[in-house]
Amino acid sequence: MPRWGMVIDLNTCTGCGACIAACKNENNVAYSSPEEAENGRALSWINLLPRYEGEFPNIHIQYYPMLCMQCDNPPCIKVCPVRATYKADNGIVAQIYPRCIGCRYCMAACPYTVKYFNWYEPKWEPEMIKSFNPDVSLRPKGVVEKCTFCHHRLIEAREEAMVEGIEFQEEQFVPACVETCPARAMHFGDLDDPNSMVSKLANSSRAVRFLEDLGTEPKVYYLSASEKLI
Amino acid sequence: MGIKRRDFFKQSALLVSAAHSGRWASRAVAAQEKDIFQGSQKAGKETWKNTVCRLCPGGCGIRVRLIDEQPVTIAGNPISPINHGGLCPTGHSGLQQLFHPDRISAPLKRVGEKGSGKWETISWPEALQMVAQKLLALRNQGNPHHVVFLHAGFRGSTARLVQQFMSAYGSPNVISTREENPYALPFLTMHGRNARPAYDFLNSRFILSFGKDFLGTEGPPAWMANIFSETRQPHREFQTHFVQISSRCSMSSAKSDLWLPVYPGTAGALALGIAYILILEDLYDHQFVENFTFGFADWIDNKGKPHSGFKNLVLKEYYPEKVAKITGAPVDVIIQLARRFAGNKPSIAIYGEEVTNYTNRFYSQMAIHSLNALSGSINMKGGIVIQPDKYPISVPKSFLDSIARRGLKHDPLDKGSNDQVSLVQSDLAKFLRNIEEQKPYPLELAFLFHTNPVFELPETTRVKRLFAHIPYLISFSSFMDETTELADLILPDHTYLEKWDLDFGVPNIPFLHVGLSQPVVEPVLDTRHTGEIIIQLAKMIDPLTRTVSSQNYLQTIRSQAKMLYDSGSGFIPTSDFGQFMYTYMLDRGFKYYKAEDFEQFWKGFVTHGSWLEMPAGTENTRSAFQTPSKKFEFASQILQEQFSKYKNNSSVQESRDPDLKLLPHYEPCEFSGAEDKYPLHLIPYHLVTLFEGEGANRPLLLEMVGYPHLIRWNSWAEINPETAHKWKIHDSDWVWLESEKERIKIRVKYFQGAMPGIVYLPIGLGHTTYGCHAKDRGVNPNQILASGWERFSGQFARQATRVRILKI
Repeated sequence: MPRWGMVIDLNTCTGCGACIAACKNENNVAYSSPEEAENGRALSWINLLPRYEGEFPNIHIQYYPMLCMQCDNPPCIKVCPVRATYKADNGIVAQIYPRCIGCRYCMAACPYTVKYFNWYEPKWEPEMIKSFNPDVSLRPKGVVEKCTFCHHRLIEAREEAMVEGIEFQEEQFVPACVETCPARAMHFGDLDDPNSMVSKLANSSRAVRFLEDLGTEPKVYYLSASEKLI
Repeated sequence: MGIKRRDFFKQSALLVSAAHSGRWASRAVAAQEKDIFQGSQKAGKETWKNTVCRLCPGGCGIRVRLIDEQPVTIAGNPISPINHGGLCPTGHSGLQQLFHPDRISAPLKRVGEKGSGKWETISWPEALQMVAQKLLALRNQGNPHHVVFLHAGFRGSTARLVQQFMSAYGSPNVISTREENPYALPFLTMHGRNARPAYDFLNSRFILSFGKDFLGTEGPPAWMANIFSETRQPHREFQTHFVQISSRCSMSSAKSDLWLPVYPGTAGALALGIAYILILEDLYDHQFVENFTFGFADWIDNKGKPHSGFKNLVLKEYYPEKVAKITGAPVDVIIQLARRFAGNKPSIAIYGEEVTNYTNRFYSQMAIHSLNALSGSINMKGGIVIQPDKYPISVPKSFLDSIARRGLKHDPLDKGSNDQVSLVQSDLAKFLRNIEEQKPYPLELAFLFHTNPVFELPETTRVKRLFAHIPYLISFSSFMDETTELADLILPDHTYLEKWDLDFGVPNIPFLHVGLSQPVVEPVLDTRHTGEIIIQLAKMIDPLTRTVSSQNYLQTIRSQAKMLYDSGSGFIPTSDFGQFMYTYMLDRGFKYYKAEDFEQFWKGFVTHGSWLEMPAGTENTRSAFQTPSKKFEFASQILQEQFSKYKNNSSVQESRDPDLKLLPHYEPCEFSGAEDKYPLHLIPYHLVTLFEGEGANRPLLLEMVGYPHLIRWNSWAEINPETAHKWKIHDSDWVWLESEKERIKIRVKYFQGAMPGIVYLPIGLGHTTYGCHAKDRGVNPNQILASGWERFSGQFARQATRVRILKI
């Protein structure tokens, strides 16, 4: 069973925001209104977290694409009173929406703050509903949602392999954000496969994980940006 | 790279996509929410179609996923030589454009006053009849040149068809309301030709970017991100160093190896300071400068008159201490930069918005481009190459009857006139002045093709007045934007996902590329392809049928694709090798699979979406300069000729030194507003999500518009905390920004990447109409811009306005 993981190269990431847009479309993530967004209730499974360091003109800017870290030891599943969130065998932390009672304990427990609560009914213009991705179900008001590593694409890729009568290949499964990244800064694959690009990058000296000391064992790695030359 | 893109084997595969979706909704939830939660429960047939993204000038290849013929996702096309499978955020918003609730659904005729918003839906035959009658009447009066076709810098087949139509009709007026080639000026004066540069970043070792936001909107975004990422790969033999010179720490600055902030409008001085060190320390490319340039040393013209050259001017005027004072860059950094620029060849100096938006842009651009000559990187591997533009697609010459010939004899309305030296072919300032004064002839009918000058151009009030006074304005817009609101007739065009087109001429790419747009979906509304309208109008105006003879637009582009096929050059890429690999393989005699006949070629073209030709090597064009001296001219003789033409014209105020005005030099930018009254500079800049404001009607982009500051759905003003403290303004305070002209209300955002004394505003928000999402969202910085038009280019100096800030 592969253990899916992601490596994001901060050296090549240009902070363009394509991953945000691709994710919202792929997963039918609802739009906020300006008022809801003002209250910090906008939904976005992947976000660019800005970090500004220093003062003009010696400033260092870095954007960190922040998505669910798909922890191997996820704090969110331990606090869920109804077991709506659980870790699947392939390492993806999943959320069963109909079971979720909206207590938001998992959001409080998540040290990365990458779980989002549906504060409002998803509102769509009737015309735009036509362009929904039929592979992903919509979430109603009152449940928590988060990045699934585009889990539906994995199921689809498996089905495809089955229909075609071929063996399922690791490369067939790519989340939408990784697929769209124009700078090829995001890598995805099996962390347990020593020959895969992700496992090589995740084992390189540049690889870091966020809040590693909490023991959450996140499966999203970041390759640190190189030092400035001048 | 480790990740292979999912390939095309899934085409036409029947997927049981509902197996894992839509099942979760419990009955209670499903009862509450009827349609939208159930919309996704049935299985569907999946297909993919390749086409071209037209939401920005980047021309990326995209593929659209369709379930039961219904488009659901847009992704990058992995075999597109431009984006290699990547896609910028704007590209993902295409379906929201297609299914936007505020699209204009049918032809509309104005019934109330202009701009009153009262419209009547009419049928297409009726609408076309109205346009044809207007056009025929003007033509029969002998005034075909009173008709203007306005666009936002279009290209490809549509552009060619419109040019053909307009000249056969008899009007020289096909005018872009945006600057089509902001890089042109130094090429016109120093190379002697109107060219577009393409940069060979991949083979370059040192890139000195003067205010060009190359990772933002300048340069096709997906293409540039891809190239940048390539230069940052650890396995490369050499490192490419980026240096960004601009006042704001944009993403390009943050990702560069060095960000050097300089005062607004002083980039040209810095370039000359670098040239000083290159000359003083003898670091320039002697071979290139001696063999291929003119005017470096002092020179004597054919009348025997001596002139001073670039070398002496620079050595006399631009010593580092002086330049440091002008630009704010430290002396040691200037010296370091020059040494590194010379020491890491091939090196390129490029320029962008923070140079072209000032009143001194012309000589600044020349100064920066001089560095390329000094480092010998013109037409070199790893340097600046002239973008190839010889596409094997030709259109037949228009048939001109006597009316058309007479009409075409008139100067176009945007031609720079004889009261000032104007170098570019299209002078926007002049155009606006001409329609304002109705000189040399009045404008009676204007077509508006996907451009929104009332919103995009500065001097909003004036431009709005001018457009409201155009006797008959016909818009092809899909949305009710600020200019379309003033139209008399609206003939809504398809969106790019509904139409056939050939797209070529993507700026800044060093190869020939033709993208094929195909309709991925049947037209959603009662709209019509503008190309089809042009063809039908040609049929209704007698002599034009001899020029525009094709039955429909698809036939037009098929005949152009036939020319591609017949030329025998180029190929249809069927897999992604990356640019290195193409050149590598072609150099070694590799031949791509060629189609046996045209039908096969067309089928391949439609399936894969692009045609590509790599140019032959760049070395032999090294000396291809079309100046009088046939060399690169530091002292421009073309400019000398231009100036001498207007020598006796009293209205030309030429106080400059006659030698100096031929050479790259620094002159201070003229800012609007007195410094004591308006102490802050205002710099509007572009966002990759909005461009000139077209993106503002899509919720996807509006919600993420300010992601670097976690701001959504609104505009913000970036300001350095130090400056803010001076005016006792806190983060997130509402303020008035006031220029000489007008004031706007906006929220302040602290930003350490902002230079003290400058306020930065994003362009693109602040629409007064343009659909439910865009209306009254944020502010439009164009409203308060108060500076003037730059004379050589005829463009507005957008960043040369001073403002003051008032706390609310």
